[in-house]
Order: sequence, then structure tokens, then C-alpha cells
Amino acid sequence: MTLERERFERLLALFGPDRDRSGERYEAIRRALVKFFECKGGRFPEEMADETLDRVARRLAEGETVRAADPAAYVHGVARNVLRGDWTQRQRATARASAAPAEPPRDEDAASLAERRLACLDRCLAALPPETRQLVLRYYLDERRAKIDGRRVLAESLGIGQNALRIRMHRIRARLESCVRACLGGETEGETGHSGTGDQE
Amino acid sequence: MSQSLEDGRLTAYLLGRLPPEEEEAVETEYLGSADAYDRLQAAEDDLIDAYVGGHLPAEDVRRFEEHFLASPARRERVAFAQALRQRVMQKAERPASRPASLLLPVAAALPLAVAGWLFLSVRQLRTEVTRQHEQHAARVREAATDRARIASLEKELAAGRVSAGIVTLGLAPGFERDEGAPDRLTIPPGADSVRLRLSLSPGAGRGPFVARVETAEGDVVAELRRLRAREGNGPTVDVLVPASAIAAGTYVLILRGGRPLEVVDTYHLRVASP
Repeated sequence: MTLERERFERLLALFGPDRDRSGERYEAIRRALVKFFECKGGRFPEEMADETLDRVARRLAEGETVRAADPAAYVHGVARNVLRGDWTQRQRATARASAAPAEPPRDEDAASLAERRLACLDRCLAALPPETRQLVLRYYLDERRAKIDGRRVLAESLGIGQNALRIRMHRIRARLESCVRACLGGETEGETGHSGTGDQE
Repeated sequence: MSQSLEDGRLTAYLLGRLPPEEEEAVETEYLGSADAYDRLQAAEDDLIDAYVGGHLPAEDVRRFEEHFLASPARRERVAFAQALRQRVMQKAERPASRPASLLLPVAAALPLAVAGWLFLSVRQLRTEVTRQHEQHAARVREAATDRARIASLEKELAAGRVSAGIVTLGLAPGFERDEGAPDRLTIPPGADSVRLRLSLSPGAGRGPFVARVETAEGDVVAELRRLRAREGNGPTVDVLVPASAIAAGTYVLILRGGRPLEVVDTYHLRVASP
């Protein structure tokens, strides 16, 4: 077993004895770390999440014992150190940088991007299964009070609670966002994996 | 913790206005639990939608723009939410029958309420049951109306994918185009979007601006944020509106800017049938 592999296995073991479940837990913690760094204004949330998990793996390989009841608390502590490092680097970089502001995107580019985004959204909506597309349209219809009432009725009609509906809609929305990003990045519709798939939860 | 309290706490976290110890508690929760992470993500969706829909209080708008939008990934999510709202809004015209359907259970319940008052001890329970049945029936009717509307929206959506034409219309502040005049505005069939190119008054600044398109009756057709002036033959701002949202009729476009937001320019627009 290579050193890297051994480290990774130790890291997975931190999240539980069942390898499959700890693998899922690893992915969930990584996603949450990306969110953490995003919320904290980290410059590169994805890279910083990986750096955090690398540091945790290194410490475990060096024999450090995690005493926290929940490994998430330990990971959180390491993540805050990574964040502090980012802030320090940024302060140094700011001190070195010239005072000239960054060039804002040209308005023409922004307008063209907005048009492309709308076209991509149409494609991605059309690629959703019909029942999911209907759900999106019904969920986002209306404003304020009418929206609240509409969502309550929608949740009742699906036989789920309103919070469960919110989470379900977030997942569909995340898929749509991902599809639009891929479309804007020049990937083809088929690569989004939406066609013919259901409302996966 | 109740749902609304939990949402308020997560929103405060996302806007960076929780005290440090509370912040830490929220972070430990979503790092340690997939459910807590999902709730945070859903709260973020709602926050973005409230911002895009113009429903956030002024202080939260300031924090949102200064704190939340610092991340490029989040700016992209806001742009996505604007696009989604634009697409849904153009289909948001309620059928005329809906207000009537909402009034129906009330009207029907009135005589029952009188009967309940006359025969209070016996009829009170029956009245309540009847009212519940009627409300349920109204909801079923409403759901059927929504389904029919969504079916028609889907047809529109399918048609929208076929055409991607954009028609550009120049507007000067305060300028009202009259139907029948040589430069009257006609949106050709098949046009997907209308780009309203607004000439700015001197001193209007470069933005960011918020543009709101309203019908003569005051119904909001579209609202776009974070618009910036572009230089050409004088400063202009482009406002992109779905063609399907602009039927024949008279519209007012209000451009606001500055902090706090103030009206910068007003534009009048009359659209003729093609």
C-alpha cells in the first residue's frame, strides 16, 4: 500500500468503520468544507477543502489521535487554520499588489452572457423529466404570500412536509445550476445527465 | 428550534451577522450532519431568491452585496436565480378565475356560519367540517388550474427553444412612443427577448442600476438588478426582457440607482401588436 493510499485509508477510518459509509461521509464533509470556505470568503474553496483533508490525513498518519466526539469538530479546527493561512497570504498579496482596481467585465460581455445563460436554462429545463419540470415551475411561481400558500399546497399534494419539499427543490435546483454551468462551459446537453433521470434524492 | 427560527439563524450566518460562537455552532452542525448542510443550502436558495425578487430589507441587501456576493461561485448562483426568475415570471400571469376561486369557500361558508349562529350547539361542528371540505375542494380546483397553466407554459417553453431572436429597442428617458408613429415598437413573431437600450440622463452615473418594467396598471413584468452603464454614443443601459412578457400595451420602465435606491430615469414604452 502506498503512503498516499495508507493516509487516505486512515482518513476514511476517522469517519467510521464501514468503508462505504465512511466514503460517503468523506464526500459529505468535503462538500460542507467547500461551503465553509465559501461562507468565510476563502479565495479557492475547493482547493482549501482538499488542503484541509490533506492536513487531517497527514496528522493522522503522524500518529495524532482525534479525541473529539465528532470528527467534524476536529476537521472544523483544521479548516479554520487553513483559512487563517489564506487570510495571511492574502494580506501579503494585497500589500504587494498595485492600487489599480481590477478591470470590470465589459457590459456587452455581461449582456451576452445573460442571454446565453437564459438559453442554457431553457435547454436544461427541457431536459428535465416532465414531472420534475412541472414541480420547478409550480414551486417558483408566485410571490410572497401566494408563494407560501402555493408551496404548502404543493407539499400536501406530494404528501411530504414543507421542509422536505424545500430540500428536494434545492437538489433539483442544484442539478439545474450544474447543467447551466456545463452548458455555458460549452459542454453538450447529454453530458449533464438530466435526460431521462428522475428526481433523485 | 422552530423552522422559522432556524431559517433566521441560517440566513444570519450566510449574511455574516451571527456572533462568533453562534457561527461556530452552525459550522460544526453542517460539517457534521448532511441534513444540516441541506438545510443551509435550502436557506441559501431562499436568501438568493429574496434578493433577486427585491424582498430583502435594505440592511440585508447591503450585507448581501458586501458579504455574500464576495464569492464568484455565489455571484454565479445569483445570476442563475435571476435567469430562473425571469423564465418563471414571464409565465406568472394568474388566470382571472383564481381570485374568484379563492373567494368561493368564503362566500359558500357565509350562510353556513349564519346557520351555525342560529343552531350553535348542534351545527357548529358541522359548519367547520363543511368549511374544511370546501377549502379542500378549492385547493383541488386551484391545483387543476395550475396543472393546466403549467401544461401551457411547457408548450411556450418548447416554442421558446426554437427561436432565439433578440430585438433591440432604444428608449430615451421620458420619451413616450405613440402607436401609429413611424418608430412605433413592434415585436416580431419568433423574437425570444427584447433588449431595451436606455439612454441615460446626464449625471445618472454608471450604476449599478435596478430596472423595473411595469404595465400601465402597475403590474411588474420584469425586474433586473446590477445593471451597469455602457459607453457608446452617450451612456446607455441594456435591459433584457423575455419577449413573451411584453404583450401589446403601454409600459413604464423605472431605472433606480444609488444608495439608498432612488429613481434615476423613467421611460415609457408602447408596444403594438405585430
